[in-house]
Amino acid sequence: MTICSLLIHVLPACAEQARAQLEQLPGVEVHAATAEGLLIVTVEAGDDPEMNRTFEQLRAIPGVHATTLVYHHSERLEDESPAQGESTL
Amino acid sequence: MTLVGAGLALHASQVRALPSQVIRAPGARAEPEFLAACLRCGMCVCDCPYHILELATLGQDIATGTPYFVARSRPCEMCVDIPCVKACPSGALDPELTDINQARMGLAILSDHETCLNFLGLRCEVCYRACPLSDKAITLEPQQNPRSLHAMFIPTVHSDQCTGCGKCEHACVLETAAIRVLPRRLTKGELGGHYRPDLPERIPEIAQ
Amino acid sequence: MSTSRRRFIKLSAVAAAAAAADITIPGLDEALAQNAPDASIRWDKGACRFCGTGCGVLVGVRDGRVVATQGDPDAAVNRGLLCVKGYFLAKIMYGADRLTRPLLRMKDGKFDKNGEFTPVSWTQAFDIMEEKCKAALKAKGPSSVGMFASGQWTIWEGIAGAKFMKAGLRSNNIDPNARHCMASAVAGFMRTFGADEPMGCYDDTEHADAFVVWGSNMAEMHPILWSGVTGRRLSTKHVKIAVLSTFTHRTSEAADLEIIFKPQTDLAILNYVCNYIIQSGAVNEAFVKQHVTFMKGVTDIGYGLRPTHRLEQVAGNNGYPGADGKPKGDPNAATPTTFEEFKQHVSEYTADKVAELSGVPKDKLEALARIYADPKTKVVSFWTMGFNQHTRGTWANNLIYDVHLLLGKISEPGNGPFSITGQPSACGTAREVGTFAHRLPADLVVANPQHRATAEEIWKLPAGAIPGQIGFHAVAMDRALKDRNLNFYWVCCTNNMQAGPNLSQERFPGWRDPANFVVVTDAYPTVSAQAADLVLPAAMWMEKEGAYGNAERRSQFWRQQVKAPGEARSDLWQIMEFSKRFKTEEVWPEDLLAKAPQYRGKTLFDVLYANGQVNRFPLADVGKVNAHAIKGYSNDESTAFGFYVQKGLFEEYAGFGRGHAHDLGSFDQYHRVRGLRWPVVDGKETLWRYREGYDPYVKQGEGVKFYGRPDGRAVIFTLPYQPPPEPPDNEYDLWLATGRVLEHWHSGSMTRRVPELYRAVPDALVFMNPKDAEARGLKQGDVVRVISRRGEVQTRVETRGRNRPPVGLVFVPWFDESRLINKVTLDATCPISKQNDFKKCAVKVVKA
Repeated sequence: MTICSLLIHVLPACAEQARAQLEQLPGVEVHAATAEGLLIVTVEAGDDPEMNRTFEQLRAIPGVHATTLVYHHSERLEDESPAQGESTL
Repeated sequence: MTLVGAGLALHASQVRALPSQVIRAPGARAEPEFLAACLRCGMCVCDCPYHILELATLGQDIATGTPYFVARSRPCEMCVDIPCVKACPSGALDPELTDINQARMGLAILSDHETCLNFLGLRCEVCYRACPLSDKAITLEPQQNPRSLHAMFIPTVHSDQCTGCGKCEHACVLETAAIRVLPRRLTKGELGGHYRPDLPERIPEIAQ
Repeated sequence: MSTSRRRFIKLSAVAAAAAAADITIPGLDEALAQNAPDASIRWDKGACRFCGTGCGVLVGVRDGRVVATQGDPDAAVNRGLLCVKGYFLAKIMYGADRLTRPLLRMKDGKFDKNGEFTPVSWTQAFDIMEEKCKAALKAKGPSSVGMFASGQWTIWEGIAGAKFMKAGLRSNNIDPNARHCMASAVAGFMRTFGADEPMGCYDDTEHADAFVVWGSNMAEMHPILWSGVTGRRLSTKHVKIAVLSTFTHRTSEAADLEIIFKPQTDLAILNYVCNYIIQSGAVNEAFVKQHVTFMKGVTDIGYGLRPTHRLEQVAGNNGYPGADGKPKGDPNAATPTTFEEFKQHVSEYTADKVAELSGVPKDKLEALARIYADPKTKVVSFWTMGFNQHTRGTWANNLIYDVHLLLGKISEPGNGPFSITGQPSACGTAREVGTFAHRLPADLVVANPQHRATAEEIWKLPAGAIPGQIGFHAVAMDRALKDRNLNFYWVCCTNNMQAGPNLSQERFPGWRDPANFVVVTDAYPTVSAQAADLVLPAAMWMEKEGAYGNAERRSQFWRQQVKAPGEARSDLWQIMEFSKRFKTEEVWPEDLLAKAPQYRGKTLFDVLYANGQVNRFPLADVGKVNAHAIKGYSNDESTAFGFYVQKGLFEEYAGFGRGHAHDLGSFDQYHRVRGLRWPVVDGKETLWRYREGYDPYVKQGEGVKFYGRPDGRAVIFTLPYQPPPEPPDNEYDLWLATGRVLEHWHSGSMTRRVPELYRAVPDALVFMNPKDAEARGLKQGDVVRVISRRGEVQTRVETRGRNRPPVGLVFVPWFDESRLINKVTLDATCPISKQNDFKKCAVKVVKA
């Protein structure tokens, strides 16, 4: 299992829409957003290739200006079932 | 046939760079010379009384048939009669090596000061006491502990004495060793030739 | 990965991103703290399980398991630091082969001395114990039953054990493994000061100008104390360290003055130092005049060998029965003498003579003497087994006090003789509780009728309940088992089969003799357990509520943190539960019962533990006393017996010392603080005894008072050098000294089960001088046999590394159960302290 956090810059004009689209993606959560269009996002994926596919999808969302990977954690799971219904805050 | 050849070529390119945790037997010449001279006969491995030396097999990242050991698993016992060198028919292990304390298999380096227990102020020093040349190859340098009135004892490796036997890395009590033996080329720095720290600081004639 | 872990990682990821972008997310810190893996760990204070330093540790528990330990930053002893053994404390309880059920040697469903170990119930285990113990009592009386106790017992285990043996079974055959460790220190303290245990404390290291370490490898054996000594030297440039030893080790290597002397000649060196002090005019005459008296000890005291040994037959003062059946003198006897006579005696120990005898160059001897004699230098002398494990161990202790007393360098910050100990509660349990064959709590002794009467009164027992006959000491127990005089033997919390001397000849035969029944209580299948008839699984360390007393008189308590595995039970529970198997009529004579008719028909449990004192604190108190640390706390013994067992035992026992200069604080107070150094008067601890201003027992204007003795004076003893019993000869041509290594503690039963420590030092080697090796055709790594007149072991030669013996001496550590060096050692003791000399016997080393 892999967990990453990213800083995503979106054009303020598209922020609402981009955020909604981001949250549609599997494993993606938006934790905070600033008025300037900076989003704190975590991505949870089964493995690194899956994570990469999610990144590509993130970047393809209209209004996403830049993505910066901040935190990357990967470890083997004993229980491979994805976390259900978790709210981190 | 071509496929096998391609595989071997790839393998050959890999083994040119010896994995860092792999240590050669005492007296082993520099890697290219060693590889050129070693007959892959296995005599040194046969004569290692502690069965420390092993022969690389196909598929390892080490030239197949050459002797090596991994310090974290089993370090060199530094036999005073150096039977592995005596057994070597080709001179890949230098027959001039008659004093095991002069062996330079690798060089210990206390690579992680953040997890080493001594740097945390604990009284561990297992590496120091495991060292066959303790007080020479590894000394303990007492330092004042800023956290308390107790001293800290910092293991310090001296490259002019360390044989690279690997006893320290083997004995390190951490889950992953904080002190490691690596090939000398990976650990030892080299000063520019223009700088000579061993020269006297003062030149009397001029200082007069 | 658990949901909580996943959550924590995700929170960490968010926090990292927020930090990178400098964004504050409300509630994030709190959420992280709540979800941190450590948040579910419950931390509490404790004391280290190993040596006598007594480091404070924080113990972390999660899901009923000790998962973390770390040095306690609030513990004055170690200020958050630990040695490598302490680093692995969390692992010692979780060896793969923990004993979890009683095991009895059985064949065809019945006990059989040669049967296989078979799991039995606690009822079956106590049934056979009861049968064997009562059979021995019936056949030969109380002298045929015995218990081997431990300086690793908690204080209350010591109390329960001593009461059970001395008052219950009415046998003084209870002696601790501490006999092997510091009996000579005890005898030295009692002879010189009339009171046991050091006058100073660890704070001395912060004040001393010089440290002299005699027969102690502190760098390895007391690592944290040594860090303190080294820290003092680093921070204060003038501080010097002198180390005296019979071989170079990690402590002597670090010394400013390293003195390697021939075994046993420390006695001569001490006499020389006294001589130098007198000759150089350094005697503190005012101190000597006011606070010291002079005595001359008897000599010719033998070597604590069997009476049949030729050295004992010729000894005139060994106390053994002579031809007329009466004891031949008393090795402890002494007669008054004068300073002039003392001066005359030590004047024979000139630098020339002692240099020749000891092999130490004169300039080094003088350098040592100067350190002591300099009036401006505050000196702390430390010692451990080099002095104590010595056939003249009591003398060596007396002589070091002579040095300090001549100078008045004692009982003040930075000045003093300091005997340090090897076990976590050698002081707190073995010495203070008095689990020795001759002792009672608080320095009382069984041979003194008034002392016995005091104990009987405190314990609410009829007069005469405690026998006056001194029991078998540790080495005598081995001999008594072998001679079939001791037939029921219970060994608790120690691995004496491995630790005691002359294993093959003197101990193993007695244990395996069908005439004897041996019970071993331990957490692991030690060598001792494997040699027993019945093995009882023990709860250890944090699996029980405990208290230890360290080498500076500091008593430290801890709470039970986790449950013991399977059916393992604490030694405390075992002793108390077993005591229910005895009715007073079965163990007490009629005349004793007649004096206490209320005890007729009662069990020993009723008389000793449910006596209205020990059981006076109700079960509810367990939770109340400890509520500040653990909500809803309880401990297994109190739950089992229905009252706060530990508090009752402790408070009853504390009655011995309170008001008698052995005052302990209140039970509840200890559960709140990081230990207190006794005497604790009005809740305040005592750092330096015998000196006004520090010790509440020294009145204003008295200055210094050695109140342990009736005349208030300490004794300077006149004692000579005498040779050791078994010097090397042509055949057995080397000295053997045994000892420890930092990585392992004592017999290794705990530390060898920690994989990392085992890998660090897997085997005991014979450390040898390269010249000795060469002369025998040996080289580094060769497999050799180390042979004495008593037995042999096989190991490998080590000519390098941590210990570097001089020519003529070899060193073998004793932690390794696969190389039992005690097959080789000699069972010669100090005739006064009865402590064995593990540092000197003759061996040869040959190629295997």
